[in-house]
Amino acid sequence: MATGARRFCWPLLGVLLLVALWSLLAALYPPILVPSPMAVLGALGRLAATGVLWQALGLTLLRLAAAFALGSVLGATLGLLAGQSDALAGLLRPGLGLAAGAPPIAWIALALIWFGTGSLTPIVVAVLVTAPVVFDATFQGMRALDRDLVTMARAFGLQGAALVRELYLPALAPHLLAGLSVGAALTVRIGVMGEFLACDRGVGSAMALARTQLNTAEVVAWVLVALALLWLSEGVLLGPLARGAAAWRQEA
Amino acid sequence: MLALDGVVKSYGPARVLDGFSLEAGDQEIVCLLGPSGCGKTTLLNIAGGLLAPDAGLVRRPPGQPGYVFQEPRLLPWRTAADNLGLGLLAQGVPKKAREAIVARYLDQLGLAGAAHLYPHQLSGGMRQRVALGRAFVVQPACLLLDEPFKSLDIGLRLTLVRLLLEEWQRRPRPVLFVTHDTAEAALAAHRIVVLDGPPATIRAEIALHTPPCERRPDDAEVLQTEARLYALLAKPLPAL
Repeated sequence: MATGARRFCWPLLGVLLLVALWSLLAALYPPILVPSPMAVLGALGRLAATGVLWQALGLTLLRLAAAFALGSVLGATLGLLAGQSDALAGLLRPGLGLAAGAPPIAWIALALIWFGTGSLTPIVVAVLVTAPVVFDATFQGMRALDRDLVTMARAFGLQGAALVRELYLPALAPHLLAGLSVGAALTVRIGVMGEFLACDRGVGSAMALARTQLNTAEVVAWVLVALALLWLSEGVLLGPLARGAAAWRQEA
Repeated sequence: MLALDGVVKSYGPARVLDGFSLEAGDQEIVCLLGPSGCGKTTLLNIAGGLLAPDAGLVRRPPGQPGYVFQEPRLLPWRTAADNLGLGLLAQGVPKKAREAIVARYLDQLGLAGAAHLYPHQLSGGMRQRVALGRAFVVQPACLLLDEPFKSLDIGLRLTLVRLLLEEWQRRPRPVLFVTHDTAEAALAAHRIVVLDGPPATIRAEIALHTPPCERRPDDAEVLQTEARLYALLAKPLPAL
């Protein structure tokens, strides 16, 4: 109980500190530059009440989920394969380096030309940024794999799905989960940015619209929505997965 | 019968086996002793089919071989029971049947209370018992042991040799047992092969007459064999 309280105590204080700082700035500057926390909550409330929030959130959630699923499956699969073949690893490295290294805004510019405005642009760009991160994590995991355990598994005839379930997946889990966690954050950030620049619906484009209307409180309200998406991915998806994967370590 | 016939194996320019031949009869425990790096592990891996020879023939009784490695090599995220039953899982034995067989072996190896513990919760001796059980449980056609008791104290070592012999007596089969320990070899082997190398060559062979299961550490034959092995293996030291 005491450790639980301590675990939440400091982050909570951190949030309160941020809100205090925000309120201070809001008192110093006009609302069009820095809207107060109450004004932002009010804007959020109106968006929720009129249903605009839920429509945008639903669409964005779909896009981000698709991008995250595609990016992680692509990255993990390539990482698994590259971990078993130095030739393939060498072959893939430049392409993935290009995807991860080029500024995301360049991908958005190109995707706009290729796919125009619509869901495809933010999804493709988020995949391009997420896949290399998950690839790297998986590849590192394959490199760190205990060769002796692999030999043992082979000696006892373990293969196919059983080999993946008994050996590869648990061994890779810590690496994979770290990669997925970073990948999820990137998907949200880059996906929403793609929407901002390339879409006419969704959280990002709603933020862009609020900006053109100089409705700063609403812009910040959409930022909170994007943050909530990130918390959702950590809290609902990755957190429980990580706890499940590490359960055997906890046994004292 | 488990047999290597004229086996050749090189790693790059280093020839580890150069026309090496060895056999273990259907009910024979053969212990292999020799200096580190003389090719014992390579020859064991070739005998078990984990490694392909560059040339030569390997004859192995049909069926899954059972391996015990130097380190336990248990899956850290699986319980003792699941680790012990890994080979059965690989063979597709249904869960209920698997659990029944595993429970029997846990019992025989004195691990009944440890079934649900993870490897990091087990002592070194218990981990190696699980590894032994993992090899026994698949009803292996032959057993290949690569210094399996190396890191254990002498009491545990003798206990585990005893468990190995009990299992062998229940189901006799060819066994290749690599060890550095003269006492282990003198207790467990029908025949001891002393190697030199690389490339591996047979320096001496010692056949023992008392059945392994009837031997005690202080039997005359065991002690004599140990003394002979010691004379063969120990390098002469300068006087102090």
